[in-house]
Amino acid sequence: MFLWLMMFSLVLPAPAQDVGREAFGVWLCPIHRDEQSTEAANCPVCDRDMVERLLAPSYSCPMHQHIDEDHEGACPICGMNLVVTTRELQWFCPDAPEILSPVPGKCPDGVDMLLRSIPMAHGDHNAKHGGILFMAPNGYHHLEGTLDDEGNFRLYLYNDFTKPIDASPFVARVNDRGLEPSADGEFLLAAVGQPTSFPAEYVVHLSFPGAHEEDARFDFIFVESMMTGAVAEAPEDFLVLPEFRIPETSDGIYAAIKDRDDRIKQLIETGAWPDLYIPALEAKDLMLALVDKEPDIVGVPAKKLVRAAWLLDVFGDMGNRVEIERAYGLFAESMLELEVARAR
Amino acid sequence: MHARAIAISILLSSVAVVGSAHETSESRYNYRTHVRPIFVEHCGGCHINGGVAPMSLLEYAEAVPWVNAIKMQVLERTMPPWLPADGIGDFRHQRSLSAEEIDILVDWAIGLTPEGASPAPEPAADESAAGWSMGEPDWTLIPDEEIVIGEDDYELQACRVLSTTATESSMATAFEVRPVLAGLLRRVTIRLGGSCDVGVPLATWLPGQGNVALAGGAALAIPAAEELAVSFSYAKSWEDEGKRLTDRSAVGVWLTPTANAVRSIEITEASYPFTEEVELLAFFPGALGDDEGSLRVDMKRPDGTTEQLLLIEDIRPAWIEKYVFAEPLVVPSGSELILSHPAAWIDVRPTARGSSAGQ
Repeated sequence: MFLWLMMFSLVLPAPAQDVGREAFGVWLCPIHRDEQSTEAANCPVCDRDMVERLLAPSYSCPMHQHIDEDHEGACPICGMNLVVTTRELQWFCPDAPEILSPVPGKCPDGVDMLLRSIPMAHGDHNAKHGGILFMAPNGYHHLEGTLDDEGNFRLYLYNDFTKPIDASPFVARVNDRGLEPSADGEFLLAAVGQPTSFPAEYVVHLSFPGAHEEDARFDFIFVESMMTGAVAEAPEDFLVLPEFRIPETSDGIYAAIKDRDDRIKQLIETGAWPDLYIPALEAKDLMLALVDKEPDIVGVPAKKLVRAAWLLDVFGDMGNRVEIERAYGLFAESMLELEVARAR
Repeated sequence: MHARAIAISILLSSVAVVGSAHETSESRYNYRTHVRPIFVEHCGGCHINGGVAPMSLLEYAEAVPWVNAIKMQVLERTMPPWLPADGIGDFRHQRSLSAEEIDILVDWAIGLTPEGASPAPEPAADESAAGWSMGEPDWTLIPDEEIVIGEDDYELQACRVLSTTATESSMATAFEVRPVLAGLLRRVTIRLGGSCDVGVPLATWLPGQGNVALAGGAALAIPAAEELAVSFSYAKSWEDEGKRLTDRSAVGVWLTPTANAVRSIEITEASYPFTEEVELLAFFPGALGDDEGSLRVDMKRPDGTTEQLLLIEDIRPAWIEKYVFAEPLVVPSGSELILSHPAAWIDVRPTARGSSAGQ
């Protein structure tokens, strides 16, 4: 989905240690957790060795999640292209499973600890059927909507590890048309007809079995390339931002925030909800850096911008257009207040 | 420190970008070092064991199950319950979070809620067992008749008229409530006279507020033998459902022999003209309902400039209080107060240039 966004991949840090794949270490002091480092170090407060936690990209099959490769390729079981997920790497002792370590070492019986990668909750937000995947407001369920050539809308349900779950107990409608469970409970289905134009928008309301929460809304927006399988081209006016960093000057930071605002607007226009978090949270980090420089000037708009950025992140993951537009309204207000405050 | 935290954020987000999906990473903030101090400062008045809120946020194990609610309430600005818009007016007892505090709480709530390994600080003192914040008050007023919250009561508002027994006029500088039912008492409004509905509103008190005082040592006059009408608002949590409870919470009043008196003025129209220079000390909105939209108060000066003094965009009557300015606001003679709702009380004090506040 929206493959052109991949061009914003950041430069990856060097491998933390030889684990057979690129891994990304974060070092934390076990006592003073606010003391962090991007490389091995001693805590500047207590001089303890900082402890590493390793995350690594893992190439896995959308349909066979136990596939864990360190390179692109095809699933050895079904031949589907592998997709990138995030896993945690840890060392363990085969005869003492309670012993875990983020760094290699010896087990009590003297043998070397073994390395394994384990799935993380929310470590895989890839669509399994070529559709669009959202996270439900409860933070546990995930759902994927697909649209086939014959105008059938399918809704797949997953848990927080993106493992498929029985869709039968869920009640949903798409554009006010009821969805019916398939015989095997793999998905919910409704014939919605072929779209007459693109982007084609489908609004799903979903209620969760046994839950007291209100129906959740999800806005699925399909672009034509998703139907044809073609690689989507970036629009000519699509912004290409440089690698994220905090500029040194206040004016530079402000300009970078405005760039993120433009990017957010563009993503909302194209319905690329799950990608909103990137410019939104970058804008938030830029704003906090600006507060450090101009606390008396931008402190008030910063509160609103930080809230709005996180709301865009939260509702972007959930794919709810109404809430996304409300969050962006707050973001736009904060941008206006920021401009006025700095003009003073 | 902040630059280092940002660096970590970039590193973690780079992993997520590779996956072209928004995946969860452990927050760079932890409960012990970063989150709990914010809870203590802004939430601990209510969210403490024995407090009025249904859960404590001062213990990790009790806070964590609520992280989704914490995240959304902070982002929607529902909690902490402070209604005035940010950046308009500067008030005492304000409970608004800073941008960095919002970021820390939400980042932690989304980022796997790490606890942190530093030793747990001492829990904040339970207010129900605490003494008065400024030492023993000059008056400690306790209702003669206890207030009963019956088995079937979930919320209750009770009015008690307390006699001061003062034979001379007194000048009150601060008010405080020492709750007995600290887990139920959500709000207290103290008025001059024998009615909880009319009369000069002297103070509102909310849990965790400590004493309530005007800026600059200003004092409110309480005539000799006058009574105080005190409205106590209670709400039960599920733990107290079906129980019969009684309360005789105490009201403390501190007096001063020297201050020049504040004048409280009732406003019943959409504008109020100032004919002499005064200091504006406090604003108390009149009765407001849930459906009354927003509340806005502006001051228009003689030179034509206008200053917004108070804006409440989302009125929640349960959280309306007497808004006490952090510093007295000088209002030039000829200024005009413009109110979106024509019902309010203000506290003013004449400046040296104002001959009197007789308006």
